[in-house]
Amino acid sequence: MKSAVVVFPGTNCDRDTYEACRFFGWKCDYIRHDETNLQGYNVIFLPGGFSYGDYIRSGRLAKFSPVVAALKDYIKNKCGMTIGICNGFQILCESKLIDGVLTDNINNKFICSEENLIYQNTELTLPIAHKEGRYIAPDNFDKNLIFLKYKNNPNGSDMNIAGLYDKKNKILAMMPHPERAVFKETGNTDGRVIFEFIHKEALC
Amino acid sequence: MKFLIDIKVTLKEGIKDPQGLAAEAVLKNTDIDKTAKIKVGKFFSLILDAKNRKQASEKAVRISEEVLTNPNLEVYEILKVIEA
Amino acid sequence: MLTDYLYKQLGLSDFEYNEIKKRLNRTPNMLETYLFSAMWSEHCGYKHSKNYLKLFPNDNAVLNEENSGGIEIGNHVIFFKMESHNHPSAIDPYQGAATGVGGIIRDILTLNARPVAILDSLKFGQLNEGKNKYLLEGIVKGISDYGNSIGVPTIGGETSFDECFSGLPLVNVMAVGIAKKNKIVKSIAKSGGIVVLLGSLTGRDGIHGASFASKELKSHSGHIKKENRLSIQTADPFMKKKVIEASLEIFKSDGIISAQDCGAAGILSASSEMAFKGNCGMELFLDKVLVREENMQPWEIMLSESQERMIFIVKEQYLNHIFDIAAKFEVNICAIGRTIPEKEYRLFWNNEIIANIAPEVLNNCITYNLNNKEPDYIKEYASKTCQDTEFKEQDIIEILKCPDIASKKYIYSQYDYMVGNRTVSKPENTSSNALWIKEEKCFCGFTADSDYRKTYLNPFEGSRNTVYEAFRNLISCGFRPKGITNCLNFANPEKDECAFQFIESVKGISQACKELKIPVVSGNVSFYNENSTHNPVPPAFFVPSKILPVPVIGMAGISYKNILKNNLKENYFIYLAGRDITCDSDTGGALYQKLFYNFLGGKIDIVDTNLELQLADFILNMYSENKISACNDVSKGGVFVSLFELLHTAHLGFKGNLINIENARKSLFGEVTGRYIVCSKRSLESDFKKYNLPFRFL
Repeated sequence: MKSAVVVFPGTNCDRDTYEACRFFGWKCDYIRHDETNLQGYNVIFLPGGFSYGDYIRSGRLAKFSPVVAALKDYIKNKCGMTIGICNGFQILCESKLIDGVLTDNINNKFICSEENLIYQNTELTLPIAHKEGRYIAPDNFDKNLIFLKYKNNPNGSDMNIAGLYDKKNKILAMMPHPERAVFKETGNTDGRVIFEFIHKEALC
Repeated sequence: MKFLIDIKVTLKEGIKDPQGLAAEAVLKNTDIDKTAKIKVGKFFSLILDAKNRKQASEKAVRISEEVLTNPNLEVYEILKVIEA
Repeated sequence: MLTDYLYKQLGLSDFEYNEIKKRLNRTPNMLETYLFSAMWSEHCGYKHSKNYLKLFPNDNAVLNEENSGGIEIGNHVIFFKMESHNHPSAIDPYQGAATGVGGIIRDILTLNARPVAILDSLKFGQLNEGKNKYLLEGIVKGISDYGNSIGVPTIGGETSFDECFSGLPLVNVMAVGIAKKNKIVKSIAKSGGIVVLLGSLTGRDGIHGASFASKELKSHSGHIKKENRLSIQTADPFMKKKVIEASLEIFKSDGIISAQDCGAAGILSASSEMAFKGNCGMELFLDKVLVREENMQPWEIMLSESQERMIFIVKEQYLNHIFDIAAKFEVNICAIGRTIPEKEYRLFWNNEIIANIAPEVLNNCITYNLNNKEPDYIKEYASKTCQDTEFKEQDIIEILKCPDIASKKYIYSQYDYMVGNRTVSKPENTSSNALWIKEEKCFCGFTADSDYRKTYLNPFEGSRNTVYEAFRNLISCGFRPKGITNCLNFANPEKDECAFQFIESVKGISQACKELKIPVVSGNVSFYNENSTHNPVPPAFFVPSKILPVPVIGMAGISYKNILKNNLKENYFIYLAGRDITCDSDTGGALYQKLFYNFLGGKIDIVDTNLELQLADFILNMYSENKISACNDVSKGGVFVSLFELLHTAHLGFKGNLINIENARKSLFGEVTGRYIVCSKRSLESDFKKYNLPFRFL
């Protein structure tokens, strides 16, 4: 399993995501925002954080990066799996790789909390930390894309949506941070099942 | 009478505008325009009751100065005051 | 002649100006007068506090002479320091608080330490006044937007409310960083290096910020308004994030001789201090500084407080390499001068020398002894007694909904407290906050604490107890305390009352640190937190006379075991360990007296060091033997609030007897030192007896 974590200027969950990948024994590289070659990776992470400071609008300025152009080819040519976490989800939406938009939370504030989520008929608890995480689905939304749902919908997303999986294009996008729930020392290991899912999907 | 008022708020001359600078830097890497200057601000649209245009404008000034801006940091411009 | 007029305007006194002339052996030119006005301001020069801060013990602290000190863990050093940004936050809460976070983060970064956590200690006026709500919202949003963006978690802190902070909020931010012991970069320059400025472009931001923060926000709005206006800096967290990553990468090269961040008085303070510490000199070519605005004058460039800038002294052969790193991270960089063996600080403008001062003269600011006379109020207040009235059930609701005690979820849910994958506990569930130090396979606990009411009543004992309170916070979570930082917020030290409070407070903190054998690793002083008139400070504020004295203590501790969490379950034993309240206990300064009677007075309880140390040993030992399931120190709101917090997080009720004296209010809510609530699956009576500790089964 060979993974890569994309680092945009302002990205801040790159190291957390890298360490989580290494925990599962995956090979992992950091890739800069100006990289154009994504060959050879089973999975590419667009990690959380504040690419370009979230200035103008979160994810908006990052979509102009060469690496996002390369990612489009990577997806088109079915080279591997793409994961967008938090800011990564926002970048995927802004780059039109995922349908729909993410906008300001319903309370117009940053929300950091540990949320109960529904994942494949089970419940798990994962951290969220975002200000623009309210998912607005497009009109012709395909409900089969839903991957994760909030139990208490803290940000007011349509249909309680916390994460989507576009199986055809192998794009997984979610607002919660599974990489923050891997190590027992920090008290929560629920994120491991998400990484196990990624592992399975990426290699099939 | 109801009035519709548009107000633009921007950072004062000389105050650093981090968002504008970041957007300019990204624009440099596109083929749209490499030298454009960008300033980021806020736009407010108000609907309020007033006896006449003059009173509406006076209210808009007070709202701008006391609620919408911090005069140490920002300037405002009343773009339009029209009867709704 | 011009400078004779200028120095007064810039806030230097006649005495100081004459001293400058004497030391220079000539009259300073205009630019030099500007330089002195900044370097000899309270903010940079610590002229009213320096003589007293020497009292702080610092054995076993790492680098307490540097931008921040720290404590050693194995091959690493944990740096931590607290700093205030009170005045700027009063003028613009959002930008003021955000740049406050930015400033203290740089103090950590400059040592080649990665910033890993933030704690904040906030004080506001009562929230029923609109302006205080506006300040709270703006300040929290400022910390949130900045800290979240740069990826440094805000893991905890304290928030408290009193009318003395109305319109004069206190924003104290503590930053924590981790560095490899053998890779620490100091701020001591050596001659033969190139001076490099990295980060944001230099604009007119915050010019006079240093002297501004050292003045009362006073009077004659026209004039001051103009000055305040000049002092506002906008925060640029995106640039900061890039500066953090670029700096850490630059430190990896072997080309860095020393580093210093640009804080108060910008390039001037940072560069001249490096030369002074390095016992060398420096030449700066100000026309080489990359600027954001046109027609900037040399004095403006020197004093600019544009955020997100670092100065490095670089070995010449590494210059290209370092420029390449800056380009990679898309941050500005310029070489602006060099260090020289002659002990002179020379400034050039288009190759013409425009200032030349010995770094020592510039940096060795004059210091003052303060008038140390006990103010009359001390005895007067001590002789007052609080007449407790009968306990009502409603008291419980009142105390729990009091904003000092009530949940701070509104605040902490806006902070990303988890980024970085080190945070062990939610901000609210424990009295201290833990970070996982994966590099050394251990946990570090942090707390920030203050008790201004008790400090007002008894500056020495109140401050001493604040250190103990921080100590108890760490002990209750299983940490062995290792070091403190402090942020001393006071009014005008040139007035006797404040001078006395300050000196006694410093003595009290020193005393406590010596008793506990904990070094003071770093600190910061904020004076002039007052307003002598009731003239409005924009935006339209009514400002009270002055704040109560607020020494804030930040403390760090270590645990090699995972932290003591709340594992309280049904049918567990609950004890009050330590000192019990009696009819005669001194409970002056207790929160409930303020809340129920608007009363402030009486004597405060005096810390018993032996008892505190015994209790600490007991709790840490019981914890390592797995005999304790939950523990909380007893502080504001007394035994009732302390127990309630434990029950609340465990979702449990309680049946027992908390009231041990006739005066139920005093019994439940009275505040004395040296006690904890300790919970266990089984009886601890024999253990208490073994340790010879006072206890009561609840």
